[in-house]
Amino acid sequence: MTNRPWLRETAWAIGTALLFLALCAGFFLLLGKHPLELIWQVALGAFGDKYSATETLVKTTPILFCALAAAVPARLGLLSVGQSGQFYLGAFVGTFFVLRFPAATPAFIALPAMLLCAGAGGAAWGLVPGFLRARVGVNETLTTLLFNYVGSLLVDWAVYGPWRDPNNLGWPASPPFPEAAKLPSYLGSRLHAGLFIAIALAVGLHVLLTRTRWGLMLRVMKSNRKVAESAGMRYGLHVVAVMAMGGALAGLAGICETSAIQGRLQSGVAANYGITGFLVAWMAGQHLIKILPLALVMGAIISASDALQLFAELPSAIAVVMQAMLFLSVLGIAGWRKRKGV
Amino acid sequence: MDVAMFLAGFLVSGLRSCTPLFYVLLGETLTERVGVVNLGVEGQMLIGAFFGFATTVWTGNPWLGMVAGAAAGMLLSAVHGLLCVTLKANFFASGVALWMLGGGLSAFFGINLVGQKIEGFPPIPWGPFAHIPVVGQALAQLTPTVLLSLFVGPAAGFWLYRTRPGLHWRAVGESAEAARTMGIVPERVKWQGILTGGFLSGFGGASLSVDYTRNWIEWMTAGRGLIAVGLVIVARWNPYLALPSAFLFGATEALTLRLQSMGVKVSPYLLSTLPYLVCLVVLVYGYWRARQRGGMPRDLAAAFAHTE
Amino acid sequence: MVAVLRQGRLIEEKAAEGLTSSELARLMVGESNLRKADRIPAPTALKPRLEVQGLSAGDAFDSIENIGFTIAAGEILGIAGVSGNGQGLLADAVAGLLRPAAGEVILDGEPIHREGAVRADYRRVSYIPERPLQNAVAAELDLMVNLHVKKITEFPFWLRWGSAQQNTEKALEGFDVRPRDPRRKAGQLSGGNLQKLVSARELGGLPSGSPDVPGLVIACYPTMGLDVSATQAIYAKLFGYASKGSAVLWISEDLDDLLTYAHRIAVLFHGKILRTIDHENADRNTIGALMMGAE
Repeated sequence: MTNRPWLRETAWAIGTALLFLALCAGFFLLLGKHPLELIWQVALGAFGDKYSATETLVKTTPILFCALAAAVPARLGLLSVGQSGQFYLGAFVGTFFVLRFPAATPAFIALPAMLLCAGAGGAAWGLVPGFLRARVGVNETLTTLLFNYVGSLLVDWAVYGPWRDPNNLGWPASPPFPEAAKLPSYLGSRLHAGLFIAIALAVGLHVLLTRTRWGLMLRVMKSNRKVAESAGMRYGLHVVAVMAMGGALAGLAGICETSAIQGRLQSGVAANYGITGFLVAWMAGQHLIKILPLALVMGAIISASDALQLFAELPSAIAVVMQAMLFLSVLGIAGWRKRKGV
Repeated sequence: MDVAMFLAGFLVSGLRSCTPLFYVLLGETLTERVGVVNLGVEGQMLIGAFFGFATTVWTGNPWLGMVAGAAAGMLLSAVHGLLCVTLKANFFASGVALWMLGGGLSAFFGINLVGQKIEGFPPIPWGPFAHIPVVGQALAQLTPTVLLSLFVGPAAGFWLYRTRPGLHWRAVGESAEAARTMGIVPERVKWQGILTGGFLSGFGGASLSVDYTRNWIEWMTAGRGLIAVGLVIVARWNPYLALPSAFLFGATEALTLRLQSMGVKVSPYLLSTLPYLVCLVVLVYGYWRARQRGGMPRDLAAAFAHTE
Repeated sequence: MVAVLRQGRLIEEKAAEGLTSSELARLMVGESNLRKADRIPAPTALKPRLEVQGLSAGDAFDSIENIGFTIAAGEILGIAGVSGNGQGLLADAVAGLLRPAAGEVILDGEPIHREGAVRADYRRVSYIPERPLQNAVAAELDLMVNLHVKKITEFPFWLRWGSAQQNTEKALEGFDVRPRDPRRKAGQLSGGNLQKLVSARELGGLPSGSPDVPGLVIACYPTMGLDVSATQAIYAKLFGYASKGSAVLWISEDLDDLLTYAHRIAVLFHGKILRTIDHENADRNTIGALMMGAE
């Protein structure tokens, strides 16, 4: 093997991509479609024109938030899979406040307040599993997964019940957000400010986790809890802190999607963004900058699956299948490397 | 009489509702006994439910559906074995991948099954018992998969605690390395544990679509597999306790449905959070007890604390 | 026959009979390099610094029960016992790293265990735990971080390593940790070098960053896997703290060393202290018998 590590890593990354494409091709063959043509359609559907490209970025935004939400707890060795529940809670609490703003609230107050509330809502949904982990030792993967269902049902309750807008004629959704509470969008498309907030947060958190005392403490605590405690660090406190931070990030995803894309709170708004974000974080090795391109890849897959529904008449679940195959390729190749020691 | 009627009805509907969960819970218990956690049971359940339902629609024979579902669950669990045992990937990550794969594939291929209906199992001929008041009515609602569930748990418990292969499984779960020095091949035992769990979770998924709801909806398991992973801790990795733990969920769901049908003025969406919250509470209690008394297989405790 | 290997070379082959331990030690470490650590005289004024009362902890597999002792300033209390009799638990509980089921640990009049989160009182306690790879180092992080781990909470918010690199090199040199590469991951060190690394952190004056010596030094098998001369070097540092006024709690399996250096020896058996014996009255046979559980 070469002695240049980046070359080796790139080679393995290409290998993983090829395995993924092979799995996809196999699946498409199974469906009786021409694999290369379909893969070409996926590429066109994701980046073919201005509309596709901006739609890809639109899908990338919540994935990016959710990936950050998974990666921050992972820096302390915690496997939080609660992004979708925190997404819902962010949307829920954010909407709660938006619906109560006085009509004349200007955007420069409404938007930050909305984001703050959503972050707090998501944080609460991460805080509880964090607390249970810190105090009783309950595995956070299980609790965050259970919290996902509760979060989604909570939004269902709101939009089918007390927040249902009678003007929607039976369609379960909250009243529309006022203009002041809608994130600005650009290029005459659905591309909105959330993307830039997410990128800024990724860079900022990367600096926080690599350049500061706190980042170093997290590394020590992840590596050996006992050593950290014998050096005076409060493990439980930081568990709660990273879980709450992760929750807040996913909560932001929820309110951005609700405010900029839907313009109102609806059932099922989190789609599969939460779990997709978890996958992205895992594939990026919890590295906050590597998350950026990987979130784009996932955004492309989801965006292209919309195109596939139109062109190849494939069910939308194709996106989930393709994501699972990508994740399997990554896990398989990583495992293979570990086993062979290359 | 009315009270007896109500209680019997409650018991039976709780049992019916917990049966799919029970099989998954038992399967996951056995998988975790060999030191492997499989969050992918959710995906295995979904793929089992899909194949079970599709086969039943196609052949008209629910038993064939159950077998097909179980086989499909087992096949998907082989991916977990490949990743976790052969390639030593992280259990939780591989489980999430399986969950997506099972859910995605079943939603993808199952789109044409939405809205179809099946007959399910024919009623069991209870003969003279059918005429006993209360008991007869309760028995009439029992289906073969519910009845089977009453026997499978004890059988698995007997096998695990009273036979040599069962001893090997427990040894591997306690410490794979120690088991190796006893001449056991831990990898082989882990494969067996994963495939058994896959079979039972596929069977559980099939019993959900073929027997309990008798229809197919995408992502219809709604977290039952994940709840099973949580309840394994509550059941303390003990097959004998699998049914009582699962019944806890079944009773909550039965209660939820009953409250709704009685016209209680609480949103059905809020009521539906109840099974998850109950699971959460007993999970916390289970952890608290496990910490006080021990009882978690050693290698597994390390996996759950992410210190492998 | 005894064959002596040193740095991969066969040094000597001799008949075992008639070989004295000092001669064997000389062969193992090379000529007359071996300088035995000085014995620190027992303190005359017995002002207790550490008081342990009724300490119980653990589970069905490993426990300590109703442990009580005091250590005066400048005193070395040796804990003898066959390993696996609760030594690790005792050390952790006294260090404040686990919350005991019952009992109290008081250092200089202040309890070690405080309300709230479990964390060590790292400014007042130097602690060398058993099995350093599991208990004392962050294996994925480098030697520089591991040496400074007890200072991290006092670092400035924006990390600046400044002179840390030189300090690390000096500490690695001083405790003869190999390789002397501050960027090497701790998990890549051999067992003996890990042991030296932990000693460098806990006994090298780095831990508290303050000029004061720690009130309590706990060492649990601090010389595991070290050769004779490295062992003596660690002893010199460890017992040096006693001469500076620390209370020293020293857990060891080596009866000869305990008889040489400890001021008092307590014997731990099945999680209980069977008896505590003064240096003057201690002899091999009594303690050996106590270690096997004989009352």
